[in-house]
Amino acid sequence: MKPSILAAVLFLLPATLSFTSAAEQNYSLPLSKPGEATSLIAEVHTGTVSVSGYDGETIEITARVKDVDPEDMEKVKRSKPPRQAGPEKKAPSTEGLKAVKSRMMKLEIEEEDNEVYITSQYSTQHVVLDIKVPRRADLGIEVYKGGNISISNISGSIEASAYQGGITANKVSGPIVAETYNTDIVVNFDSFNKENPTSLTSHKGNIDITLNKQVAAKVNVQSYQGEIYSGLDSEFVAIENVERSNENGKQSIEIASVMSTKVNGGGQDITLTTYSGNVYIRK
Amino acid sequence: MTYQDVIDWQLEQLNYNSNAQPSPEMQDFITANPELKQELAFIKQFWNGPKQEQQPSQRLDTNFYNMLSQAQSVEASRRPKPVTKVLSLQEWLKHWFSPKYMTQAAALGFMFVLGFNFQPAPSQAPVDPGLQSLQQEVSSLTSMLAISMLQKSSAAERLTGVAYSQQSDLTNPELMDTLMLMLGTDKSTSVRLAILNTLNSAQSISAYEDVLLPLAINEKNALVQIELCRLLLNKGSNTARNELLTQLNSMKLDKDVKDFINKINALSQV
Repeated sequence: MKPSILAAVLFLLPATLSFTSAAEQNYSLPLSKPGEATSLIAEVHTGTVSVSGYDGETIEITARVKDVDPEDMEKVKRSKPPRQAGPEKKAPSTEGLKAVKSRMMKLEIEEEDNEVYITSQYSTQHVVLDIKVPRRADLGIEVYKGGNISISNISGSIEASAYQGGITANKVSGPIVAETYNTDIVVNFDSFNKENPTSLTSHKGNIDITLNKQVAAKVNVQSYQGEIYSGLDSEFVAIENVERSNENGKQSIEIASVMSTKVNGGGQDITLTTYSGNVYIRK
Repeated sequence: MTYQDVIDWQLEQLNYNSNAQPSPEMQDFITANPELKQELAFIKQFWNGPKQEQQPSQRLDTNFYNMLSQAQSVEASRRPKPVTKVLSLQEWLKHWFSPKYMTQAAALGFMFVLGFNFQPAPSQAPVDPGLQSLQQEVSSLTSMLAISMLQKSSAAERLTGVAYSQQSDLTNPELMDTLMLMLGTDKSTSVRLAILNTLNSAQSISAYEDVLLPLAINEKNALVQIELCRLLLNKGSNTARNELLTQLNSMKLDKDVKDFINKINALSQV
């Protein structure tokens, strides 16, 4: 079957569209191959992304714009190169005119063989995306600036990166590979995928996971300066590497900074790494 | 005259169907030994009994087992009964710590110690070539699987590839080259940290120090940089360690990386 490519470029002008006061746009994207494997890749420069799984076979997208934080706007202005000095120009008159707040949003959406790509590279507008996908979809979400990534009710694999906002995943089964810099990662597993490992990493944020009582996994934790709080019945033990060398009778034992425990007999790995944040493991 | 002499004579008579009577001497001997008389009677009965019946019957079976029981009791009455004696503690100690047993125990212990101390080192122990070949094949397959998974687009699958590479012996050059490449270019911090964790279990990283050292110096991700430094400081050569510390001490670093390096410097001066 010839793959179908659907591309939509949306330019919203508040003067011409009258959906909601926040210039909200709804879009429904049918999948090329309903019922088959689906993936969603969303890359947003400045914005907030919420993805929820449901039992349908279309991608439902709700997009709106809100004002960028003034401090961030100043940073954007400072990052632009200064205009070269030239002959002085007289600015046009604005008498009788009122300033129109820009609500322009450039959002690109593509679909090919059930692979959906949503990108927003605008740095001066905060794009808020609410996306509904089939529950089985694999997700790849990246938000460079702005708000959080929220995911719920997804059974596919999840890859998420947020450099200013946090990541929250509720009723998911993994595998999840998530990363933040100084904000928290909160994940609630209602079941657990046994095929691939899960890894949550944050430089300064906390990592907070909740495991279903039936989940069988091996939990590895590494926190250089933070605390580890566990509600699990099993104890954590430090993983150590013992090296014995026959040269000059030297022996060395390296007690690594990784601690590990097996939940319900053990299984696929869940690795939680944070430099200065705390780790919370709940049941 | 013995029991066997009499029995042999009786069997000979029965065999030739002779009705000859034993000699007086033999008769006296039989009279003096009731057990022998019983045995002779059993032999006669047994010899004559089965011939009178064409097929074994229930009565025959019963007779046979009765006679067997009688023969066993006669035999038992002839055998001297073993005498069981309860030893006192002193006697028990004397028995088991006698020079004979002590010598045996000492010889056994000496041979054990000799064998333990002079056993070949594990690497020198003879290895079954078939098993070694099988192990190499398994390691090769695991490496190939790891390389395949490492090239996937999904970070979770690449993490699985790193897990497979941990199960191999990390001697496959193609696998190591792939890991080094991903260490420098993979967009997922989790994957890069997992690779560093794997390299920590490698026997040697000397062949890759020229790749790891510039990576550690120029890395922008603080978590990855700390782990790179830890890897080189734990497993690197003295040259690599000194070069790393010299470079990092002269650079402007992330605060957390700087703290880590300061701790290393403090430990090295202790």
